[in-house]
Amino acid sequence: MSEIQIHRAGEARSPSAEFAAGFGHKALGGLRFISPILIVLALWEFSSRAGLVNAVLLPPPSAIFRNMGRLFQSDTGFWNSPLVGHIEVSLMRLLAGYGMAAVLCTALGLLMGINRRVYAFFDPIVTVIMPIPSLAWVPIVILWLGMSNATIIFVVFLTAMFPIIYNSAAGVRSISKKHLWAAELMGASRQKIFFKVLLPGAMPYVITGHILAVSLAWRALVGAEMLAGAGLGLGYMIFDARTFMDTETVYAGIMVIAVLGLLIEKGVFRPLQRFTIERWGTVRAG
Amino acid sequence: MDMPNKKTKRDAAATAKVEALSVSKTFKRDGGEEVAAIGDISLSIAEGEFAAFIGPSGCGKSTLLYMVAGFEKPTGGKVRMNGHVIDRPRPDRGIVFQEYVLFPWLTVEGNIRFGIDLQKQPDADARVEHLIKLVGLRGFERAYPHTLSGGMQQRVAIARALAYDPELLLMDEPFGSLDAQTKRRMIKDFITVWEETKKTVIFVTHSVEEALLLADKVYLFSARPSRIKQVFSVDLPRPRDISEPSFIGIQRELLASLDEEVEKMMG
Ligand SMILES: Nc1ncnc2c1ncn2[C@@H]1O[C@H](COP(=O)(O)OP(=O)(O)O)[C@@H](O)[C@H]1O
Ligand SMILES: [Mg+2]
Repeated sequence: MSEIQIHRAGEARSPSAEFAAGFGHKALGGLRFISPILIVLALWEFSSRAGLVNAVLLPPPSAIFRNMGRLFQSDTGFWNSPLVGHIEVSLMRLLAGYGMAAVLCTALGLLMGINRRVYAFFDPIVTVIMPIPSLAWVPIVILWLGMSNATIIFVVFLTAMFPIIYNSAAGVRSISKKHLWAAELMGASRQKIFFKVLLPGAMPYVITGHILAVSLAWRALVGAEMLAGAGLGLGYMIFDARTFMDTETVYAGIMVIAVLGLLIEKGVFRPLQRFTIERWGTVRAG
Repeated sequence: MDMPNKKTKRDAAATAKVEALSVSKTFKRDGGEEVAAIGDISLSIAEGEFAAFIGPSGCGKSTLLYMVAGFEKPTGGKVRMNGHVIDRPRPDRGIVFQEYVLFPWLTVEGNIRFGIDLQKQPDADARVEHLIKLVGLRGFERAYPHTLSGGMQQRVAIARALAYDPELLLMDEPFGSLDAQTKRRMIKDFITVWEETKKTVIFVTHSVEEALLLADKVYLFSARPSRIKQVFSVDLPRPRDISEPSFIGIQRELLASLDEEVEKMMG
């Protein structure tokens, strides 16, 4: 009797499982993700229009989107619009700061993982500086570099540094002695061991470090731009709009920040993860 | 894999494949306290021999194997291969660990090719294909290790160690973490592989049955600090039958001698 039931359950599941396996799975997942957001937006729209909340402090989403549409327009087209300008500046700052950290700090982290002395020197320094919120650096960096692009880029760099260093070092150190022995016995030189064992072996941690770095850097960037944006960037735009009580622009900015953050994570790092560590079965928790 | 065995300048018959001469090994623990793992071991393993190391846990079997690999250095004495003192790991040896130690970022084929590619050996494709067939991995060439069972992963590790045609195969409890059924199958299949390649093998195990099913000679280690207590020659044709009286006889003798050493280790 129970056998028949199991069989039936299997039968009932298979068509939907097949559906979910293909394109349907993605569409369904997307719908599941977007529905709660739409419900909140609808409630918000209703509360704001019905006067349940102050419409200046919480303008209806429709007004925010209309305003966002305006911010994406200019006499010389979409690409010259103010919002695109701010986005461009913010992304360039992110790329510059993160890019420098990616190159320098991955190298330093790997070196720390390889060399005990380098590790012994830098580990305490990293451990002490890492927990400092990066915005705490902004005042002093403004004194060094002024209210400029350089200040923002430097703060982004500072933020991205530590997760990259820490995880790259941990990645190398996670490789077992026996993996290195096996490679050595098969005739790998030091250089080959680095490229064929240490680098791919550390990859799961390195990728985690970079994901963390970018998501923290994106947050720090917006904060730093509020304090030292020098007239440009999404953070500056929000902060500036607030002084004019232009809350529609403030919210438009926040939404753009949310969407861009999501795109960077899901659009850049997720595929990278999928093609490397998920295939290798070496995904780390968290 | 039917390449002729490379002969060194010296006569292979006169020189043992692997020799340990009064080898000792003492480890310093983190606390500064010293552990004498290997007391005084001398042994000689002939070309083409299938040697098994057996002994109580912690008596230094892996340590001696790692010294033959060139991973560790003896505290005293010498370990020689083909008459030369072993100075560092070299690809004339291959190793299989209990924990497989495959490269998770490489496919089955990528793992097996690892040594061949490093040494830029010719006919890589043909050799890899042959080995995959030999160890029974056909159809899994593109699979990543984590998708395979323990037994299959160990087949990959064995193929990887044999792929670049080393003279000596070192195995550290290779079937130790497999279930009994898989283990029996692996032993049977490995005999086939070994009979084709005819490598000299050093096989560390804690299973008397495994040692006697596989080896030409079983080297019984004493309790720590270890020496070679006894060497058992197993002159039975393979595949061996565990229910045959001659097998049972030697098994009983080996087990009794091993148990004495395990008792010493316990207290
Ligand atoms: N790297 C090491 N540092 C300190 N002690 C070690 C080290 N390697 C092995 N030992 C010790 O040496 C002894 C022999 O170890 P091992 O060769 O692994 O034994 P077996 O393989 O026979 O079980 C054990 O007591 C072990 O704790
Ligand atoms: Mg051992």
